[in-house]
Amino acid sequence: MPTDLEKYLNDRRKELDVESPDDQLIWEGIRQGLQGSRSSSRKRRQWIRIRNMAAAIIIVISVGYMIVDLIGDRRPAVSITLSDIDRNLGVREQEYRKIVSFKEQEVSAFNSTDNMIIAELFEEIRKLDTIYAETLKDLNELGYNEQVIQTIFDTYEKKIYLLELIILENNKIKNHENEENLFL
Amino acid sequence: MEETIHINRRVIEKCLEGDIKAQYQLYQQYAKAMFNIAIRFLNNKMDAEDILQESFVTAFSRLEELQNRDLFGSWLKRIVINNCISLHRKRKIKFEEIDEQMHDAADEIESGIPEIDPALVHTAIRELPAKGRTVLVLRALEEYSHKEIAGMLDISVSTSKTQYSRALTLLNRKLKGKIDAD
Repeated sequence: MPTDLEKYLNDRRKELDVESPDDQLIWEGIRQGLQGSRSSSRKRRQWIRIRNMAAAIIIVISVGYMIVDLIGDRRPAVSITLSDIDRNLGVREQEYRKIVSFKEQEVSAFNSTDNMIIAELFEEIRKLDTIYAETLKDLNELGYNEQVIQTIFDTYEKKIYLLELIILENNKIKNHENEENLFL
Repeated sequence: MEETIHINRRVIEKCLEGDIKAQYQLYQQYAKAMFNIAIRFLNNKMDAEDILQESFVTAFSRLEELQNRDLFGSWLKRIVINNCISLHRKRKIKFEEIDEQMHDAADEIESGIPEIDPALVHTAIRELPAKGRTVLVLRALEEYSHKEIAGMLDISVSTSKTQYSRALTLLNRKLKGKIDAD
């Protein structure tokens, strides 16, 4: 005789389908699979994800630079920080820095050479750091400029996102290892 | 339902002719359900996406082997499940015999399951240990008999029943925990 839980599972079976696949990537993989491509489907999907993310970052930052170049009134270099411009901006930057620092500590133990995805993500972070350094130079040259400030915060957010992806990827690897050893 | 079957027959005929739009139509019709089956088996989105992709490639490549075109959904589901089990085997998750004493756990199931959000139930299923989760999904959601499950996982019927009742108990506990937490 079925329990109440079994009855629930049976009656509401279709409602349990709550997750959705990434249709665009899966369909692309299916088409390539049908055409006989033998490269790893997962690596290809992950690479496309990273490539799309990197492209989005570059577009956002490039647009920021273009706008700065177009409207920017280049002034002599003055050493300033966000907190010099506005106390709230300084506080906001400090909060981002704390999160970045916390997550950097977490990922510092990971070995990037063991995993292609993690290595690629670290490489994207390195590029972001370069962009961040360049943007800081702009801040010193231009002083207060909303586009530059937005770009600085964008780089923090993207960096946090990339660090989270690294942590997720590492957790996934650990979960696989744990699951292999897990017995009822 | 009858209409869906007729539509599927036509779409499958077109797929056999290599019509990409028809293939995509079938993909859209079944992808979400198949993805959720895979993710409940594997508890990992990327693995589930791999299985989904491989299963559709297999299905489209071997479509001419499908005798009864009305059964495309069941046939595809079996491909997905077989691929999930193969992945478990590759990862050396063995569904070996377990201690009969563990069977007592089934007695702990309480009656009176309240109205629970299906998303919570889905998450709780994903959190179950791999072996119990596999048997529970096959039995409770995909409605295979213990005899069929035993054959698929290469275990005894008794082990299938034991794993199932234990998984059901664990799921019950998890759901009670989630409800109490809310």
